[in-house]
Amino acid sequence: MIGQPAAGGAPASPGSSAPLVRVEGVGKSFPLGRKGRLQALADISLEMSAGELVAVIGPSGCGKSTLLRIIAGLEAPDAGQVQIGGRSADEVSATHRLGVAFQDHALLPWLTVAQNIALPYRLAGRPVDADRVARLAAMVGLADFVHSRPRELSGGMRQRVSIARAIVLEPELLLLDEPFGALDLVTRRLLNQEMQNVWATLGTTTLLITHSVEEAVLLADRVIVMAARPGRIHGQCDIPLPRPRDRAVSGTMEFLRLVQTVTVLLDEASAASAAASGPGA
Amino acid sequence: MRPEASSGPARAGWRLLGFGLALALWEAIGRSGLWGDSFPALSAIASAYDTPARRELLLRALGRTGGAAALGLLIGALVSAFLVCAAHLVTRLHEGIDSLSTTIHAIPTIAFAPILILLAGPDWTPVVLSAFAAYFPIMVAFDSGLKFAPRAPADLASVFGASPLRSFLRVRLPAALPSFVDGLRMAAPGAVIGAALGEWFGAPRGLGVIIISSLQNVRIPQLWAAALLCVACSLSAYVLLSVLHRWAQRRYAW
Repeated sequence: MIGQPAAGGAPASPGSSAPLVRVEGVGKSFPLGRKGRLQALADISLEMSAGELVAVIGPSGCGKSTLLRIIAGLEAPDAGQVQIGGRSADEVSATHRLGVAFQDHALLPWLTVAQNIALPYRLAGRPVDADRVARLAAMVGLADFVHSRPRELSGGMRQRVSIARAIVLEPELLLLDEPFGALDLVTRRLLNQEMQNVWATLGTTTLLITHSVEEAVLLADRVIVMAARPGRIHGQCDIPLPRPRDRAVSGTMEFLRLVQTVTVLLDEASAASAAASGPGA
Repeated sequence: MRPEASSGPARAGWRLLGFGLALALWEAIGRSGLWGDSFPALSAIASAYDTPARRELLLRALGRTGGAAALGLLIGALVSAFLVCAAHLVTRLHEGIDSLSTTIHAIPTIAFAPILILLAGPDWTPVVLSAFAAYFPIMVAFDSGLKFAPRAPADLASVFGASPLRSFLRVRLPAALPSFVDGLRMAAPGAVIGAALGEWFGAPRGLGVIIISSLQNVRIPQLWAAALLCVACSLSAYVLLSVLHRWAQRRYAW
């Protein structure tokens, strides 16, 4: 259940067939003033099966978002490669089969809720499927707000629009970069539940970046823990909890045990990161 | 301790009081003759409007200059929009367009205005000079709006597989609209000055014509009356475009 991958190892879902997402030996560095370069990611390898929901968790600055940006094709890796269904991220996004939701929701302020959800159709140059847009708005609980603009919505509502927009074109791979990070605990729990319903309906392969251990364990099939300096995979934990998972699941011994397991991995990753950035590192 | 922010009416009151004091000071200096005959009192300048014929002359000139400035601003805005869009859609052009525009803007207007009279004719010279004065601030503001826009919208378009043109038209261009309107607002006073300057070089009518003829005939109050109408025209355009800018900011800004 708990893995400590060897360097360059590829944490994969047990019993999976051909993986949908394959990240092989990815490294990335950024310029750091006159001091040279900051190694953000080193030798990251992971695989995701079709329909799997993988959460990535780790201390701040461990490169989680950079990893997501590389998988999304928004950053080019310095080393290694990413393949989604045997194609590069650029090829997949060119066929409009990637979905993404950012922490700051990135809704276009001049568009209504319905127009924001329909934006991927416009960007892809396809006719808007108004029925699907309406169904998704209803699915995320915003049927009464389709004509509202983002500034008229709460943070939680904006994030729901962002998620509906991410899945409107039925993506092969859904990338969620801390989508609930800026929300209060109550809204966050509510959206976690809604996210589960959406995911149960669509079964989209999903990579979720989060800071919350509980959220990762509640939502994911597998949690990958990253360490920093440089960003690398420290370990992983499979989450064999049955679905659907409602709030009651979070009170079970099994859930608490898994949270404890991931927390221990996270503590180890943080300690390893601190050691790596300490004197002489 | 921070001073408390004053309310809207209080602020307007202070502004009105300051404006009134400045006018009173102007009147006092003009009447005292402290700065000579070339700085008349406001009451003397007001006498330039005291007959219907003079009023009509000045207002017709204002209409002429205002019209030329508005047309110049529109042409300047269209030229800037075209150049900036071209520079951002075909990124290889960006540096060339940037350098060329800056160089053209650096040429003193006074140097090529007489040539413009020959090329564009006296009627169109104010419009062309107004457009020349307007295009650069609009271009700089619009270019910055596109260049320094938040990364998220462009990322979004990229992940959803938008072509560069669709990404530009659907996401980047609307997001840069407040900057474009800000450029218009900054360019408006320059457009009025450009139009008035263009009228100096042989236009048949306009405030610039009145200013130059008043100067030649030593009709100082009339000169000031025309100059103040230029100021009023600039400020009106600035205020109107500020309202438009606030609307654009509310609707389109991230």
